[in-house]
Amino acid sequence: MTCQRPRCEGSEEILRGITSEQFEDNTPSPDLFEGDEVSVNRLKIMSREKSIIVIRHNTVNSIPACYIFTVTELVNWTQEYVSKNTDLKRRGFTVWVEEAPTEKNEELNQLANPAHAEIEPKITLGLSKHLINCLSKLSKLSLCGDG
Amino acid sequence: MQITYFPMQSSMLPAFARVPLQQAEIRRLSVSDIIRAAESIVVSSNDGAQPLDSATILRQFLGQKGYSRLLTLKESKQGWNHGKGEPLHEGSLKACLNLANKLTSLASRVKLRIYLSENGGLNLVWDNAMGETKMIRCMPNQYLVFNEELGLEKHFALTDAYAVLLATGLAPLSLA
Repeated sequence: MTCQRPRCEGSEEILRGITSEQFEDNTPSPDLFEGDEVSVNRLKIMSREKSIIVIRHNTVNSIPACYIFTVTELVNWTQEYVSKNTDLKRRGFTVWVEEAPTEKNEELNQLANPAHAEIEPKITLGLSKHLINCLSKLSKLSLCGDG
Repeated sequence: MQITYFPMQSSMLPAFARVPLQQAEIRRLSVSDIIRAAESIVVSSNDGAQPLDSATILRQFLGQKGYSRLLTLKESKQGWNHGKGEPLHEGSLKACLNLANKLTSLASRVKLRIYLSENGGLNLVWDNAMGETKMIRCMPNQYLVFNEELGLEKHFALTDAYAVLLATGLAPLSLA
């Protein structure tokens, strides 16, 4: 995406809701972070509890768990992975988080989510798995009550 | 059931399956592993039984828990992944069935977890004895194999189901 959106500061805590499709046996799918514009919520704008409610409502889905981490942690873990990956290293790959608030959409029955943000750019499957490993080592997984 | 297993010549395999797997997998296979794996691979069956229906084949392949999980994932709607996310694609199921025709029971070999991928693919995931994650993504037009140990993502044609099993350490490598 080329439009200029503000970037979240490194110290900001963000939450990644994990849908039931990506969660089994208390373990997230390796591709949880894979792809473009991965959705997260900014906890300085909206609490963890409210974020889960909004995500659950807007995705019409159960959210059995979530990860909470800072933007700086995301960037540092990515750099760890990039340092061992020749192609990404050559490209000077790095990640950031862009603010991407969404408005209420009555037609789609969606609540406003002013805390919505997106991880940029596209994340590979290998990096996604590395991020999950880093989060798991630090016991960052938090259960949200959905089965 | 009488099983006939035809060992493949390594020259019949794609280059990816041939070179790294000879290095990566041979050292881990015990004789009993090879016998067990060979017994689970159905290349031809001559017991004259009626062919199994797709649901039965998938239930054997994924185990009862895995099959129940599959039925749940089939209910997922467009947008399940934070507004993105496609429903499970029928072609992904066919790709999974294609694997099941080569390996009767994946669930009896590994502690299987099953996830939906954003593009409507089916992720079959497990951890090997060394704690490394292995994944086969079944998609309508191909397979994607993720090997954490080698840090590799490799794509295979649907006709290369046996190579997919080799690449994930599920099939014995012929030493011929």
